[in-house]
Amino acid sequence: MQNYLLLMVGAALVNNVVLVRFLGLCSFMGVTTKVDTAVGMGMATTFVLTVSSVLTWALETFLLVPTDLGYLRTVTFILVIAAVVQFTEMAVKRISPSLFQTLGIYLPLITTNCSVLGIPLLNVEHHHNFMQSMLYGFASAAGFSLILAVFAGLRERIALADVPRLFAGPPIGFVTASLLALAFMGFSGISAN
Amino acid sequence: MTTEAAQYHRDPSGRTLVEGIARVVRLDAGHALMEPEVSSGCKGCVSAGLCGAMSGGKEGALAKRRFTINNDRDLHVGERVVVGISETTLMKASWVAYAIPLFSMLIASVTADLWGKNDGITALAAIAGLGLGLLLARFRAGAMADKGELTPRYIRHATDGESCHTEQV
Repeated sequence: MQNYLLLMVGAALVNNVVLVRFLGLCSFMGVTTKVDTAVGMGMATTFVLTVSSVLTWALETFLLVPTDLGYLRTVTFILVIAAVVQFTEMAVKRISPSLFQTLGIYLPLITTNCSVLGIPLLNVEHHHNFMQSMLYGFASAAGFSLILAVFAGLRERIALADVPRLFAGPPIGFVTASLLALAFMGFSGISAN
Repeated sequence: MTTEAAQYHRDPSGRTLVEGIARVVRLDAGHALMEPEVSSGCKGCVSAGLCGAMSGGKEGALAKRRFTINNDRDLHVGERVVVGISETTLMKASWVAYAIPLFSMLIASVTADLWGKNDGITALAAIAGLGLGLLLARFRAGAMADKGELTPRYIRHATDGESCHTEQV
């Protein structure tokens, strides 16, 4: 159990998917203008990334490795992720059409989010088992969601600040993100994983 | 962005509303069928060609997101209006749709892993947990929909040229 906790802390904070690995920057800058949209996007990403990690582990273990088709890994993982996004869209629509109207907007964005592909590929690289793959996917996505929410809060405050015209918008956003990334470097002393 | 632009609308109970722009596409007895507009942020995205919100299936994607609101403001077909849903509802909806199935899956698989230490059993438990979570989410979402919590409300007519990310001064 302690190993799982260390794995999760490492994935969420020490090797944060956005601020340390620099994955998913497109949605990071795109949906962080308000906290509520950031949380909605973060939760959708957490669900899709966790389920994708599980399915890609099964695909890798039972199909790609036994048949020596490792060179098809990236292509097949992209297909699996697209399928999971479609499944999620269908499931949310089935659970409640009203819920789909409210939350469906975030789902197409996840298909083009590189962190959702990056984490399953890292799972393969680290030779994780089923449980480790799932928890690594979940914790990485939780770290992604945490950063989205924190950054959205910062941007809501920056929107009220008197920013010089040349720095207004994305430039001040990137400056803030780089300062946040520097702060997260502090976590690298906690664990080597 | 000005401080005026940062002022948010609130519903009668004082909760902040998340806004979007939608166009009236059909009128039924007392209800208006609305189609949401693609946000201006989508138009500038480099992945627009790959994204379901803007790709060749744009019309179909938007049609899938149509919703109804009460037509107590005498809306007409083609009019653009600003609609909103409370932040609290959006958060609750996110929890119901994603967190309940996800945590159900995690709890089931962690329990199975502690008990069996076998990848096959853990995977089966994860699938069962996900199914149970989706069922629970369905019940909870049904209760929210019955209370009308998931229905967006009319805020005001949109001004000419106004889009989702247009700041008003």
